[in-house]
Amino acid sequence: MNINNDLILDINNLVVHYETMEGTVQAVNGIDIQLPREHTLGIVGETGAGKTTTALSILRLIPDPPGVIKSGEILLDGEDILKNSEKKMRSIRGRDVAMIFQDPMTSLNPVHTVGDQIAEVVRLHEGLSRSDALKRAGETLEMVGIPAERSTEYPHQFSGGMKQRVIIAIALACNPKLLIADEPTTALDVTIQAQVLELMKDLRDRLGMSMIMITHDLGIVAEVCDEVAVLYAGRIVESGTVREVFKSTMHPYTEGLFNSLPVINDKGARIKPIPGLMPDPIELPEGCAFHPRCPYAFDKCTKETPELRYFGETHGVACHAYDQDGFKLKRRG
Amino acid sequence: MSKNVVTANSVGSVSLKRKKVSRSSEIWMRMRSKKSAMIGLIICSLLILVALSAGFLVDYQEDVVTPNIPERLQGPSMEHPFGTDSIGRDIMARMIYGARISLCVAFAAVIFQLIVGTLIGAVSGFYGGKVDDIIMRINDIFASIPNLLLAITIATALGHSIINMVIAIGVAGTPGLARLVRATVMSVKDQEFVEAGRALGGNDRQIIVAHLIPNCIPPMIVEGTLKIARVILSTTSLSFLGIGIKPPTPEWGNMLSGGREFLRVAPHITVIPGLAIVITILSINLMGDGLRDALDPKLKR
Amino acid sequence: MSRYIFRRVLQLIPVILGASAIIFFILSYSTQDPVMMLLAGTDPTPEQIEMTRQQLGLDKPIVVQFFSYMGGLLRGDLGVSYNSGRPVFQEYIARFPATLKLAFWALFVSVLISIPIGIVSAIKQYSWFDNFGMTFAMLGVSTPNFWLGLMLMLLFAVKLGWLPSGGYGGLEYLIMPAVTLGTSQAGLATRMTRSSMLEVIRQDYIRTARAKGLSERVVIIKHALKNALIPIVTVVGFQFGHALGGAMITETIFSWPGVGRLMIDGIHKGDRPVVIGCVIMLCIMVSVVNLGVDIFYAFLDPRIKAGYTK
Repeated sequence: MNINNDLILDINNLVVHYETMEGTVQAVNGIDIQLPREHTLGIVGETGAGKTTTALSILRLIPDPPGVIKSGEILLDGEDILKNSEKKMRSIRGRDVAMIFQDPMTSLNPVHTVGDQIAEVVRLHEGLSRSDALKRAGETLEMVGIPAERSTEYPHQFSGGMKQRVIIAIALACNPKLLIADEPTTALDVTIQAQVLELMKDLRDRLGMSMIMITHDLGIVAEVCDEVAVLYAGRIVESGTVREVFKSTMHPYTEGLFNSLPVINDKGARIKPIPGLMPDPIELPEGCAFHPRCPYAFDKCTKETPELRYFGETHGVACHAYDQDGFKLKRRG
Repeated sequence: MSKNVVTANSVGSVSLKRKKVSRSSEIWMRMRSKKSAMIGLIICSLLILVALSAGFLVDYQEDVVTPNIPERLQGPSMEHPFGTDSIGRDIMARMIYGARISLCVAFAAVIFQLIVGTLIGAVSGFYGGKVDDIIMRINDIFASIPNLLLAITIATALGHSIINMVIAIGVAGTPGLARLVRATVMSVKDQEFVEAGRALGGNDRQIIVAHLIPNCIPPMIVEGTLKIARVILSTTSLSFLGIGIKPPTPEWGNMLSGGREFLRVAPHITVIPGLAIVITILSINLMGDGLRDALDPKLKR
Repeated sequence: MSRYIFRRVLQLIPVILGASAIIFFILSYSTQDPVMMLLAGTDPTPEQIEMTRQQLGLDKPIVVQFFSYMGGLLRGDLGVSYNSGRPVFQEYIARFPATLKLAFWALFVSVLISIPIGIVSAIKQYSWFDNFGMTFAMLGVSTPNFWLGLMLMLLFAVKLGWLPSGGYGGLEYLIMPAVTLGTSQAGLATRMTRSSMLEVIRQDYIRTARAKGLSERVVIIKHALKNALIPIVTVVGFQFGHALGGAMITETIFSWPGVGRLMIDGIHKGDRPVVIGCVIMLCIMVSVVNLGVDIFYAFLDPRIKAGYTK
């Protein structure tokens, strides 16, 4: 694969395992992600599909032990970060790549003021003095819609939505090239969700950031993302532009996700949940990991793991069903 | 679809059943996988065995309390494996009897604490409100007096018999335990299965017996085990200070204390009972830690 | 904040009063008759006994005795020692500096050992260092300090002759008592530090701190330790309060002239005013130090401070 300078992030064949006493958890099993500059990629999947593990790999923050990056390369701006020293990594975290975590209630340190927590990252990466950094922290707070005076307050004095804004401020304080948001709105009320999402979109466009949005909410993907990758049991089963994946869904699992959504304008339609549960990541089924739940599964699916193959420029799908001529998902028919 | 549901259900109930049957064996398995806990358990069992058979092993009058001045202050030898003390008594024989006394006092004091503490804590936690307020106020006042100090105070007032020692140490440890039971009861009380029991028309007594006590037992077992270690420490400390069980009754703390003035010429009189205390407390603590890990599923990784 | 402190001090009064009452009543019903102990060796006539009893105020009802005692306590009058004939309060104050010195240095030893070992054990959970640290802590909590003290004495005073075996004076007299008391405190403090740190380093905000690119040292010291400190301070403060009230055992072993020994001597001599005075003073010390610890929390955790000012 040739190095593409237009890619901010290029992940090739990433494999991450957690080696626990109960056995090896195969969290991520050979993922490829190409993210062009100033694009936003949505990573979709159920809990345990490997979304967060993938994100933490990019920062090399997989808890080790038990987590191990077994193989693959992660090119950030063309440079393989897996080869970096820990010191080099620290200079990337928070400056080039920033991350927003899922739960704002627990992601801020309760014993430091929010201003300090923002200023800290600026001081570290830009070498500002304490007072300059605090001033900058105030500006960043204003940027996310919080009055600068509140920078001397402690996290417990903020509401959940406000805390998430503070976390966004921490992430954006050093103008990162890439922002990873791990379910940034899951823990928030619906009305607050919309505000936070709107804020993130706005800031992304203003600051010209690339972004990875991890979510299980297809609505958020439709609203925020350019591309989308659907993850199942640590593999990408379908990827492409949002339009491709949403309008011409190809993978049975993606279809199942859409069928699980209630349809408003068709009251007669019933929600069709995907039968069964995610497989135990310690004992993944042989062949395609989705085959026990797949209505289209046939012999080959139980034996061989399907590779991602492309239909058109960007639309990839990992499914054996397309070996059969003229195969189509029911949804499209 | 409906077929799926049926299978899913039956699978669920089977695994539930299996879980129930094997809960105690699962705890035992977890205990066994911890080497240190097993070592503690083995040493504790040996100690209890020695304490129980003390009467068969040595003769109390002849070996344990009668002075034998010509053989005083001898170091360990074939005849006296642990040597002799300042008036020529065999230290090993005294240690064997001492194990019985120390363990008896410890068990009795802990049982005292468990009964009284559970009663106070359970009543207080279960009824709440005014009852709780009054009981806990008094409890807090007792708790504000440090453990050992309260034991010293009571022992000083009562005198030096074994029974008085049990009372002194038993009372001293009760407030802390009552607080723990109360906290456990309060946390269990608000859980849904208790409310369900109430909704089904259970009265106070039924709910206490059926729900509260079973849920309080695991923390009580752990606390009780660790308490035995602490109580042995208190008993020997009191004896060491000369406020506990007095010689000639053999008690590890007073044996050790009796060796102090001979530290220069016969250190074994101090070293050996001390080692015994350390090993005993250590093995009980190891066992208690292991039990806690085995009983607390939250800590399972 | 000051209102909170004021309220806490007010709450302390009934507790101290109650504890004093318990101690007073228990000790007043002692099986040892102080009059007989005082007159031991003489051959007192019944009139002499009665007269001594009256002199000591022991003929009055116990409740009256208690209230007159508490009245005295407020004025710093804890009665007169039967033995020395000096006021108990004066004796206590005379012994207090020695106890303070021992308590402080024991605290120093304990913190010096427990916090670093606890932190490193938590960060490197299940490593050889953790195993070593936890074995040390387990031995620490399982070793009675009277035995530890005697073993140190056997080694450093009797065998090696490096340190004096007891008494009060310069640094050489302080080392063994401080190490004995400090090490036995360190066991529990180490375990507490480790478990508290383990709890904190699993928190999300530690991950946030790492994601900022902070070095592990800053993450641990600035972000983890300050959060982990509350249970540690509780334990260490509790132990300090105890030591301040008189480390009876350590002081007895090393003939350290502190309040703990004053009390134990009082018990052996049946000197009731000394015993009651010392026990009550010890309780007050523990309560005051605990209050200090509670107030100190506010400086560690703004949430607690917010709770105080409400």
